[in-house]
Amino acid sequence: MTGCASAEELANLAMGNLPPRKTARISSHLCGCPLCQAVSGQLEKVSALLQNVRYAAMPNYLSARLEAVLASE
Amino acid sequence: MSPGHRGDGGRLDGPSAGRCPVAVRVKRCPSGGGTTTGSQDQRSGRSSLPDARSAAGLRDSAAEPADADLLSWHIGGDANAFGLLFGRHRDRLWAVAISTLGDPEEAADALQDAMISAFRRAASFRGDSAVTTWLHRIVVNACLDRMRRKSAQPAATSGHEALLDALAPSGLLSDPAGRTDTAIDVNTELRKLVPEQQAALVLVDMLGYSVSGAAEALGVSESTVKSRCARGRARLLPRLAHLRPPATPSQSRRNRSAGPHVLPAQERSEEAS
Repeated sequence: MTGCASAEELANLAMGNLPPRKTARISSHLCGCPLCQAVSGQLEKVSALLQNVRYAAMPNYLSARLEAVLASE
Repeated sequence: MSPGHRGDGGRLDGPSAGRCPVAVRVKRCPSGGGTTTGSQDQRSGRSSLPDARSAAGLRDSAAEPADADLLSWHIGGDANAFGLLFGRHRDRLWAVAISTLGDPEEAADALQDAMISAFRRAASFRGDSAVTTWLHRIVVNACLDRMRRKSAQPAATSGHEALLDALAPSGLLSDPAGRTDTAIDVNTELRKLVPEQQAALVLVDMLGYSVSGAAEALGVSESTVKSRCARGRARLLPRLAHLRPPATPSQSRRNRSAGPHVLPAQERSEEAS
């Protein structure tokens, strides 16, 4: 087992998007590597931060504009 | 698209420090977050009927026309059918547009372009996907077109105030300002990614689409969606590492799992009040 995985590899690993051998290799490295474990945790935080961004509903004036445009089609 | 199936290999509900759950996670085993599903916040309690249904005077779900029926009525010359179809999906399509573009005017323009296109091209819908998938794909493409045009122009990012307008009030009593600041930081960094990564992260991470749902909306393979999400998250990591993690990520994530396109219920109710 050699060096640490990249953040992108760890993100792919978390999504199950790596080939089996690479999955096995990085998984076993991860088990003994606090640094890669920390990066994995931070990747999850990135997703959680994105998930917690909330947008408001369509403003009424934009909604009315769109409905008028469609009605005129 | 199977509702509720995130298809992303399963993500942990909480920090993984001190454990080594990755091999387990990859095999889609339950994470350490438990299995309680009873907690419902304001995001999951949508009960009001879609506008389209009440507008049509239909109370009985059995009498509700399918999306495909509305579309074929529209093709056949029914002047109201497309409006009903749009009304039915408006909130979710808007969420895609505003989350992807981050600017209400821009999002409304993209949504308008997309709906005019769908209106005119309805006859080209071939029925090999759900109508809602078809509509999503048109909206996503309209947004991507705009993002690509914008990224070709230097420093054409939307203003801080537009973003503030676009963000929903947090509704949290504790530290609402900090939450908004965090959302602005996250947005700012997200917009620096290439459009394809942004769109994948918006659908999967922001809006909670399943990987398969995002793949259908984007017109790419599931593996491509995963690769784009992985690269985008890795790029964002050093830029967002200083931010505090959200207070209750696991709870809100669980409540999103009702379906690939289900969006927070609070959006409409806040607009109405």
